[in-house]
Amino acid sequence: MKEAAVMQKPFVQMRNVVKTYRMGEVEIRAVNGIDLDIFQGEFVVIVGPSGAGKTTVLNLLGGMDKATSGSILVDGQEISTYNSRKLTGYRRDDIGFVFQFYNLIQNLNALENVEMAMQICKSPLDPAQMLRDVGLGDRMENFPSQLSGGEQQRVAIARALAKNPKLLLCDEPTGALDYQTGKAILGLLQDTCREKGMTVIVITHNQAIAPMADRVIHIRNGKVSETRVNDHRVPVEEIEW
Amino acid sequence: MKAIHKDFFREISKSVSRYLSILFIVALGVAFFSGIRATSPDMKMTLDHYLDQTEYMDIRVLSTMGLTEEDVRAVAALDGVEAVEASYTYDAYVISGQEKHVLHFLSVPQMLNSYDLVEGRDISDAGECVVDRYMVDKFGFQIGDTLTVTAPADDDLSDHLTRETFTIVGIVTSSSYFTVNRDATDIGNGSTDAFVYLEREAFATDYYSALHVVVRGAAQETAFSEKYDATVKQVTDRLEDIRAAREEARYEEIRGEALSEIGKAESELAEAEEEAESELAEAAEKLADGEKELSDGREELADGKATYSSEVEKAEKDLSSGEKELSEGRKELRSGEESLEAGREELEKGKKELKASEKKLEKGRKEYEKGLQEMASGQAELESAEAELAAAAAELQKNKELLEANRKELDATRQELVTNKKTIQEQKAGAEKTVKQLAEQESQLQEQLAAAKAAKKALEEQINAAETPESTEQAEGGMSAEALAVLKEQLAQAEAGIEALEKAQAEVEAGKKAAEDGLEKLDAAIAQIDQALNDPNSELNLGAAALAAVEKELAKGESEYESGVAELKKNQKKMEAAQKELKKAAGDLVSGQQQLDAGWAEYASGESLLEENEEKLRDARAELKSGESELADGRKTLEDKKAEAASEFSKAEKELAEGESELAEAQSEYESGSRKASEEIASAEAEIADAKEELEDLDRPEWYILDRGKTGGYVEYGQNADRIGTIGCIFPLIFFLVAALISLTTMTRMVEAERVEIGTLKALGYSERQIAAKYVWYALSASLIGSAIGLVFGQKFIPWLIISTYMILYPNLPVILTPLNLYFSLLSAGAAILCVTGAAYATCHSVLRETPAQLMRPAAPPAGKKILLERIRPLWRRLSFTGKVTLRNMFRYKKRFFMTIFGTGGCTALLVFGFGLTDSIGGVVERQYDHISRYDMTVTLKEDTSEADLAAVEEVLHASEAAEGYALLRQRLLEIDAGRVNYSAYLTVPTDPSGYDAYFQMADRETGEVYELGDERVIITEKLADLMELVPGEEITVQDGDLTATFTVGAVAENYLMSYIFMSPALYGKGFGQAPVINTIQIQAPKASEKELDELSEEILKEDAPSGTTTTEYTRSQFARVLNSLDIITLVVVVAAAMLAFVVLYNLNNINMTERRRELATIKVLGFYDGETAAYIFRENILLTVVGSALGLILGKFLHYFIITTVETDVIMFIRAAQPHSYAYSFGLTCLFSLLVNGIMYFSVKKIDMIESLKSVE
Repeated sequence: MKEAAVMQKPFVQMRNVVKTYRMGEVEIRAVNGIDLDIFQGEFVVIVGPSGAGKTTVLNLLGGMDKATSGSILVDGQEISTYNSRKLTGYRRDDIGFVFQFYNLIQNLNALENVEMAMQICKSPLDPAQMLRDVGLGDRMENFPSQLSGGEQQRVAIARALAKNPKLLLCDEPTGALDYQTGKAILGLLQDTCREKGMTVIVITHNQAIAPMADRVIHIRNGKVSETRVNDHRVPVEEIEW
Repeated sequence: MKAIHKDFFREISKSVSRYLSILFIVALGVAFFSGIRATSPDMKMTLDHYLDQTEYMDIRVLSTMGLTEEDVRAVAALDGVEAVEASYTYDAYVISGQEKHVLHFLSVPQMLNSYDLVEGRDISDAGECVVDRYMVDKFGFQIGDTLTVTAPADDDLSDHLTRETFTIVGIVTSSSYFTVNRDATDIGNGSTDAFVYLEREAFATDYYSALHVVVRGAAQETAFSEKYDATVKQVTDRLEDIRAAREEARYEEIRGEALSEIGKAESELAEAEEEAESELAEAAEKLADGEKELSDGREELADGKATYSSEVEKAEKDLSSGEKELSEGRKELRSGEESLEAGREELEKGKKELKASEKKLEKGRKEYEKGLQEMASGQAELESAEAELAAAAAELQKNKELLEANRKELDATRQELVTNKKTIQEQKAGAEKTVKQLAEQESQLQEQLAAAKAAKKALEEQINAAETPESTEQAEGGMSAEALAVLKEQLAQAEAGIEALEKAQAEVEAGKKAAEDGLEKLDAAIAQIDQALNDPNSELNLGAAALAAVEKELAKGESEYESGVAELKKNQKKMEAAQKELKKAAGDLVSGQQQLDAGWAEYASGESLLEENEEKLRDARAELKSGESELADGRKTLEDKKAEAASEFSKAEKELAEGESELAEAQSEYESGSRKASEEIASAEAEIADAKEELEDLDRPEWYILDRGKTGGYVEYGQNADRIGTIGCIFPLIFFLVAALISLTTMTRMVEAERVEIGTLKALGYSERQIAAKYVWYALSASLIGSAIGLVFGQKFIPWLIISTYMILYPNLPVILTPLNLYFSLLSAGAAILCVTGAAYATCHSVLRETPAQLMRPAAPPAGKKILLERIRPLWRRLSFTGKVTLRNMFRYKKRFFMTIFGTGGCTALLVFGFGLTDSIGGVVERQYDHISRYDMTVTLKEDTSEADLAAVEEVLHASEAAEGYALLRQRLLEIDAGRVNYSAYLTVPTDPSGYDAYFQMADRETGEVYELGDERVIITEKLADLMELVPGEEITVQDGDLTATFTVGAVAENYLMSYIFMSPALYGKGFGQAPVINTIQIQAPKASEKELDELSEEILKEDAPSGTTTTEYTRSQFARVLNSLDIITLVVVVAAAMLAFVVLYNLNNINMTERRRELATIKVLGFYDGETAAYIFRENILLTVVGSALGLILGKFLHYFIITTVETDVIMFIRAAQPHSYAYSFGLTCLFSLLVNGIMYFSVKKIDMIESLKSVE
């Protein structure tokens, strides 16, 4: 499988992507010429210190922001040229998002939160099944406030997966979780990747997570400083931080 | 500056929109609350100021019989009276063009009730006037126009005014007329059109019409206030005390005057009677004399006439006998003339015959003479013919001889010619022979010549052949030169031979020619001879022809001669017969002549006889003529005499007639004089009697003491002000409450949003007070500034706006006073500031109670939980996902839920009230005058009107085309005693209760059931029932004049304006013990125009019975004007409601958006389009708006009912329910406002940044 992936064309490709923000008089280059390739079905970890531009990369990949220059190809589509409406369509059909703070709708129970996401996409999966898949089969009726952080994050993952996206983007999924729960979540993500062949991109500042990835991309000062294909993946259980 | 202060200002600049929204809400709430509340006192103050400024009286005293100087002094002497002023008034007409204006003339005020000059100048003499603005605005008069005053019927202008015309010099406004109404009057249609001020000298009356009183200390009190009323009441009470004495004094005065006048009249009458009698006696004497003279004259005339007739008779007899004689003579003469005429005719006939005979004779004689002549000429002719015949015979013989000789000669000539011809012919034959010979010679010669020529040619050819070298060869045998020469010689010979031949030929030819010439000559000769022989023209032949002609003629002459001889013989015979005839004629002629002569002699004798007779006749005629002329003369004399006599007679008769008519005239004059005298005396007596009688029933004068409260316009103004005041009690309060709640919510929200900051500050060691100060200052500054703006705007603008609207009714109010009202200012601003600032402090305080650690931790988001609806599983399951989400969200934010419902509900309720106000008030006039009061005119009759006077009015109504029907009734405005207070109501007793339904419909407002006016119970109207809390079956006590009775209420009827108590005449009789006295007529004239009604009113007022008329249209327009002016309030309410809706919805939406920013960002990240995101949040808003608005409709219904019933006065009931469409409008408008706010919010949704979703929870 891995050989096959190498043979394929990259699923995600960023070429010389630049993103600048204007803050009054000052112009800030959040991302300054990123080049990266990600292949289908890979579990990718993008690591870098705060302010390196990871979140910008995530925003660009997730269609939440537009690049100032450069090209972004996702599954053969040049999304860097999309207008905001097409970007919304891209987000709703092709992307699954997992937030650091789960971002569940407080007013909806677990099942409803999942339902809400799948309600707008073209080929949704069964929400109840998704919840069972993430191990929350018996907590469906619970409201977010009645769930622990890890459980909430599971709901968030279920919500992201229910849309049956092409790409699962996770922004510090363990950032707000304790060690054990974080590991469990990572395990869940990795399993999803393995079992469903989903391309998963995890953005984190936590270097320790890198060994479990198929591909590790280091970002520093708005540039890719290193890309490493990990031939010796470490199981989640062995990772420590 | 301390950092915490910096933070304060930065907080404001960071949240300008929130700060401003609090400020604005507070301003709005305060403005409406204080503005509308202040309107009522402002209105009263405005009028009070105007009245004080113009020294408007506090009390007016009127009297039915005028007031005197004594009265003035008496009033002035009263305690508490500061000033008294008397004035004159008079109501009369001024006609301009087609229009007749009823004007109220009043004397120029000296001090009180002063007027303001608007245009022109003030009066300077009695011929001038200043007039009401209406005169210019409505009726088109100008400064400089002259008013000519016409007194009403049976009124003498000079009794009231010193002059008839007045020049307009100025236009004025007066505080006495600050409303649109003018004084009532008892002329015209019952109200005056305008007022006119005149100099006091212009009035001729010796008594005053009114006294105006100013009460000491009243000006210091505000009009309409209780203090004012109390101050004035002291003086009215004192006036009441002196009124009886003053009335009596006036009565005595009038009575005394009248008595002395009657005495004077009586003595005058006696004198006049005496004088008349003596004059009459004298006249009678004169009349008798005249009569005697006349009868003498008549006798004389009769005598003259008798003499005259006998004389005429005699003359006529004489004349007729003469005439007879004359006619006999005339007859005789006529017969003589006739016979004479016959004789003359005979004679004439004889003469004619004679003349004819004479003519015949003459003719015979002429014929005879002609015959003789003819005879003679015939003889001569015969003789000449004989001679001619002889001569002809001789000539004939001679010619015969001559002819014979000529013939001989001619024959000889012919013989000679023939011989000559023969000779010549012979010669010719010889010549022809010669020619023939010659021609033969010639042809021989020619043949020879031709042979010679041919020989020659052959020679030449030979020569040529020899001479040509070429030919030499060919030449046979070769020719030598010698041969050649031989040849040449032969040739020459040949040539000579030819020449000779040719010569011979020429000679032959010449010979031939000569021969031929000779031949020709011979031919000519022969032709000549032939011609002579044959040509007729030739001499020979001519001679022969002539000879033949002569022979013919000769023969002819011979035959002529023979016929001549025969004729001659015939003529000789005729001649002889004629001779015989002539002889006989001569004899006839002689005898004729003899006869003629005898005839003529006879004729002459006849003629002489005739002439004699003619002479005789002529004489007779002359005689006759003279007789005739004599007779004519006689007749003429007779005629002349007759004419003379007749003219004399007629003259005498005329004189007589004149005398008679003079006498008759004198007689009638005498009679009329005596009649007149007696009549005059009688009327004078009657007058005196009347005057005496009148004096007997002289009414006692009655005083009317009227304070301002009895002045229509003043009271109405007060009611209008109070109405505004009532509305101002409730409606702004709601507004204010909503505003306070909104700002309170906003403040709470702000404090809660900054709990982390508060926690940090607290952790840093700031005191609670320092921390709270920021929020308190924030709230305080916003609400202070807002209140200040609201107070100024609200109390300056809103009262001004409302009072300006009332200026339609009170056009004269010069200035509108809108002072800042301290009480309302403090009340509204204080409440607003306290609410907002208090909320800020309270929230702050509760937040600060927590520990810094708690504060710095993000507040747990409000937990989601099941809502009540979820428990109803079947229903919940059926809801769509979005439905579930919406419902759960709605109930999750409870504060927002209630605020939105309260805000939109309040907005809807205000709108319902606003629209309902128009329905309730605007609908009253229509309902009252189209459905309930259906009469078009009311005539009030004087009390104790006689039946005859009433009948006269009825007659006018029957005659009128405008009036279609009328009802007679007793109607009186009563005070119904209800314990502490009195209510006024009209007691109405129609004489025909069954038909009265057409004039006033008594029916139930809700069911529409029409009530019958029975004889057992009364019907009262709704407002009165409400006020007195009466229901059917209960009792009501009614007082009519001195009579009091209690009745049972039978039904409560729908009615809006004024209150009524209806009862049947039978019930009235039963209750009061006497029949109702008719004092009112209601008239139906639905098709009559305003002008026709005016005319009808005038007709009616000419009668004695009516004291005034009012058209329903007039009353209607009065009410309509008052009520419609409330429209502006409706507008104010609608605008306020709209503002409220905006403010509430905008604020709540804003808060909602802010609170749920992160949620919305997440939804966007999940791929919701902007529209879907907006719908996600707006669905809740719309649902809330609908729910709130629906609740608002219910709230509005109660609010409307409450305010409407509060606004009602004792005499007005408004329609209590708003129209359905008003509810629809209110609901629709609220939804529209909500949609507008949501539309604005959509842009905020669009602007939400998705990056927000990545941030941590605060």
